Amino acid sequence: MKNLKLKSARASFDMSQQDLADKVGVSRQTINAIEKGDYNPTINLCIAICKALNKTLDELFWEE
Amino acid sequence: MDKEKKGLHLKRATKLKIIFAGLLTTVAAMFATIYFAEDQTHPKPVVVGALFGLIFGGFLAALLMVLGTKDDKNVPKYDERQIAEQGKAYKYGFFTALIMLALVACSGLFEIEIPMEQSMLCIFVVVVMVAVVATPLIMKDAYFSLRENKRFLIIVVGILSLVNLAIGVGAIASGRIMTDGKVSFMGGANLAAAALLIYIEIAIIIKSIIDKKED
Repeated sequence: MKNLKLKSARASFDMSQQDLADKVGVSRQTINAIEKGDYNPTINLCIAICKALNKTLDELFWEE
Repeated sequence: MDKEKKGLHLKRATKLKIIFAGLLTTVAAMFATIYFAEDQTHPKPVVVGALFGLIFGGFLAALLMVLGTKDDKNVPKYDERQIAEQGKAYKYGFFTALIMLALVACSGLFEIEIPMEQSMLCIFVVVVMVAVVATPLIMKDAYFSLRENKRFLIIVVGILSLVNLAIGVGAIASGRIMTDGKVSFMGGANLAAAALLIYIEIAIIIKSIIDKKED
């Protein structure tokens, strides 16, 4: 399932996938895979992404 | 654990000094071998030459690895997705090697003639296994680490493939490629290495094109 919340949060900060990847310490393709729903990140990476985008885990990764 | 990591960590300049010392020692040893080659009590120069060639190649590879890598300890080598993809790729490589070695064993059992010297057959298995591992690694972007200078390494792979190809073509031209109707190690190994490196280079280029379209 696509993670549109992550994509929109990233876009709201005017960040590219590469910018977010550099901030979190992963490759651009990893961010791309998470946004496309091709890869389920570990809790550590989820927390790192949340901190980089100033969001909570619920806001970015909780499915309703 | 941290102490171990600290102990293993060397500065880039130190690594380069060690590698250059290794290269110089190997070259000195090569000259010494040539000097002693006439003395029949020493091993055959061809065998010693091949041994030093391997050592020299090892140091050269280490030099290229150090030059092609950013010395930034804050950036992890591979991220978690890349490590997971590497696990899958190595699994494919393991089963490929297993199947190929079983086939080689069966060929011996059923007395099927393989037109390759035994050492060349080993190289062939390794080449196929590396190709099987490299393909998903490249396509899933887990081949290069986050610290590696991709462009530099693409150029190095290109140069190495051309060098191997030239040596391989030379072996065909001189007739060294075949010995007793079988592909010999001396001629075939470089051609196999060239084929593998060209395959990897093409896969990297295709992946780069796909990535550019995605962007």
